Amino acid sequence: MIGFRARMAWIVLAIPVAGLALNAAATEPPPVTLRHLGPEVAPPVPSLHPDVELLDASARSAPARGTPLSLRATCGACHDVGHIESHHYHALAGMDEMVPPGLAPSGRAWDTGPGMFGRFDPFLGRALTPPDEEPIDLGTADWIRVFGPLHVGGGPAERSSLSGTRLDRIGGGGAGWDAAVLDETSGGRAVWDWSRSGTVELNCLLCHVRQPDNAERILALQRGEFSWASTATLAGMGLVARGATGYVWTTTPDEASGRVSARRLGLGHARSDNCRQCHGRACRCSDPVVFESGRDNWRAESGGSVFSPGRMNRSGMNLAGKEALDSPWDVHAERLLSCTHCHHAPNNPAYARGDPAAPAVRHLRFDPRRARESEYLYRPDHNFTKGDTAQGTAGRRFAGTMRGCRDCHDAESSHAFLPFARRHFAALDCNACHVPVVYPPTRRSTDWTMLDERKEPLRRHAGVDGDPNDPLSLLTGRVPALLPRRTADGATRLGPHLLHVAYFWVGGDPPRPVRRFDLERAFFADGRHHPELQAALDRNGDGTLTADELLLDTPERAEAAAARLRAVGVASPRIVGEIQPFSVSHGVGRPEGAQRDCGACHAPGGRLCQPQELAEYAPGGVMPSPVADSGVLLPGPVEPASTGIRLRPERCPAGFYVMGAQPLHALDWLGLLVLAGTVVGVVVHGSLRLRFGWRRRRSGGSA
Amino acid sequence: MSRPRERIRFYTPYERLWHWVQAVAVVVLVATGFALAFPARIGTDVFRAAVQAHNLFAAVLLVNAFLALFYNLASNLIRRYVPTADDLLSQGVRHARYYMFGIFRGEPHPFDRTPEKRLMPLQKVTYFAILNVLLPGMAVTGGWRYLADAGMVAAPGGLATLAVLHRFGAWLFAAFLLLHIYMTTTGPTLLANLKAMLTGWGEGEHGKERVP
Repeated sequence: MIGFRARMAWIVLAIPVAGLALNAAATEPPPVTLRHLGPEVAPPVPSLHPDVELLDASARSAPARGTPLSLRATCGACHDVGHIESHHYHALAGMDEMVPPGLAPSGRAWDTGPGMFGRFDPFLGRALTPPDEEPIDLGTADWIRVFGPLHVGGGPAERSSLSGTRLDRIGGGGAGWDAAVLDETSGGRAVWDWSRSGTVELNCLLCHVRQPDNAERILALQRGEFSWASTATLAGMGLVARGATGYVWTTTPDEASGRVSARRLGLGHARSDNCRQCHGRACRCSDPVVFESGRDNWRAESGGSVFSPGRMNRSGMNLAGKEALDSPWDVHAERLLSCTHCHHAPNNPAYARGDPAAPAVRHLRFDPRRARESEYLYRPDHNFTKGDTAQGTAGRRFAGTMRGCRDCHDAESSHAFLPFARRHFAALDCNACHVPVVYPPTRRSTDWTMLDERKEPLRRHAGVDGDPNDPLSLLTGRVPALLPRRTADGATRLGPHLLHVAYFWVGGDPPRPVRRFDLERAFFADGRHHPELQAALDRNGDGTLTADELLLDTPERAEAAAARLRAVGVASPRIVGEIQPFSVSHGVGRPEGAQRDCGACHAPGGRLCQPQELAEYAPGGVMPSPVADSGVLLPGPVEPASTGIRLRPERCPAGFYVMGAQPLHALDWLGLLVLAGTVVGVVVHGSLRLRFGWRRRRSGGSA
Repeated sequence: MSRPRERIRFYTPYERLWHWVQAVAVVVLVATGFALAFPARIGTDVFRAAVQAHNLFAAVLLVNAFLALFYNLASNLIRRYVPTADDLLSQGVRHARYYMFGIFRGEPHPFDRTPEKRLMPLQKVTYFAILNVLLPGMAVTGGWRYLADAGMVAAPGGLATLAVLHRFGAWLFAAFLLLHIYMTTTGPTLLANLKAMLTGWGEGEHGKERVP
């Protein structure tokens, strides 16, 4: 009996323990994500690509001769590199859309094009100096050194945007911005020796090898060793190394002839990791997502874009409410989509639906014609299908060529819960509900009107408490503004946008942005802020300028900075403020996380009617105005507020009727007045009837 | 000594049916329209039901209005809805004066009601405006909005413009509804007019000046 009791006791005890164990196993599934499944060492890359012969510009073995690799010669042996380069908006960077200063779609008086080459970048504060203008800020060579890290080569980095001549053939007599660079000592012009630097060819390796050494490529560009940039991309593979005097080929004896296996190079189609080198460093598949601001992460910092399969609660970021955020950063990445599934070559036979950019075939619902594989491989169209965003200003003729959400998703069947579904689909970007919050810290403002002690502009981020680069800073997220935008198809839709405000000085007539060189010369002396500025800005008189003291938030303080600029020769300096909207187009979470609360929009305090905080202060009291080429229609004025400056929607919003969110119209007030008058009239009239009727009855009359 | 009163049949069964159908439709339209102004509060299910009810009763109201138009045209009774100059001037003033003063002093109604001429001068003017301006206006703005929502027509000025005009009409309809219900209490007794619209029968007085 005792033995039986003991056995029963063990069973009774074992059941809950086993239950707990089973329960734990059920509630904590193994952390299966791509990140965890991803092997640490990249496996051998199966490649159908034949071995390649690394050739120099003279079509001879580059390793054998110790000369820079020429991808025009190497890849051009089989592919039409010339065609690819000249039909590639990534390479051209707006070079094919250049206009005289003042005629660019941005509306800026100094912009000469809509692309990275010619359009002022308020993040970097640099502008390509229009031809034959003084003083020079950026010539082509400096543009390559500054913007090259985000440019794939070719286009203006290889050919003159003015004459079309190869840059290394124009010598010192080139016109405009081609031959000149900024002399960082005098601020004047210096002649760039293109024959020594060479040019930056279209860098096929950057996108088509598995592990390109982008960091070494950037170093080569910044050193001005342009012709070696492609070669430097191979440094990480051990094919080339940086020596004391330059790059040295380190190929094996077998490869000395220049013939290298495609397997070793990892040659193949572009992967998301290739795109991420320029489009956002916060997006590595194989690492926990972390955020680092900076220009190599500008997509995340400006538009909040993170395209990663990693779960948010397993990221390296200190997200508010992180435990509950078990959605991937982008559900499409989690479901194994890569960038090129949406942004593919238009003539890729696997995806093609005709040439979307050609109006002649836009009437076709289905075009059965396809490029043959050989045709496609010889001349793949590198004007990749693209979306239509406020910030995608270059190659706008390709905007909207990408398959949209509804080309893949049957929205009608999955939105049965949504009243007026069609109306919502017509009026809203899908991202309006499917990206309700942007979690990475995003840039709210960049203020170039004063530089900090590191000679950097004053930057403010949204959605973060503290320094955005500090991993301990709490990320609270940012709710994008839903703003109407005119899209390429002529429709106006409400989409999520992040608004970035930039303040900077312009001088002269016509106005040009004050060069960074002049800002530093005006605001600093002997490595510290200029004494005149110290005197004007140092509120507490402690001899240093804190972050708050650097703000030019009164006319007097702005005038002190303007006086310094005049002192270094800037004519009539004045502050300009502009708003650049960034469309939010990535970071789509799981459907459960989409905006399903009707009240978020359909209520008087809904998102569409909420004022948008733009910046914490307005340097010089200047109200910023939107750039002209974003297509975004601001629904109200920008005005000062107690918290800085804000956008106040006047109508909620322009051109759209949002039930429940509309403020009462004058006609509503009139109607209410009529109704209220009727109520009062009925009550008064009825009361008087009762009173007089009662009197008559008392005096013996009839009611 | 009061004049003799007699039971008179004021409304035919069709007229009563028409009236009550319109009454129910207008009440439902005003109520659902009001609810639709607060979509976030009522939730998607109620919202969807309110939209369907609003559309259904709008159709009922319009069909009923067209049938009544046909009935009144075919029976030549349409004339009793058309106000004359006198209705606007001397008779209208007399009518208004009664509601402003006479009704408190217990004076008899200045006009006698008969089945043939049962609309008082001010009633005629009001109904004429409602049937020729307000009701068509509501039908046009509501129908246009319905079609624009379905993407079948463009909405000049945006849906917001149509919505504002439609809402303004709704305020006026609500005011009319309130006034109309109140005016039913101004008959010989508080509920006499209501009873007449329910049963068809009411009391009339002989010897008064009749409405021309």
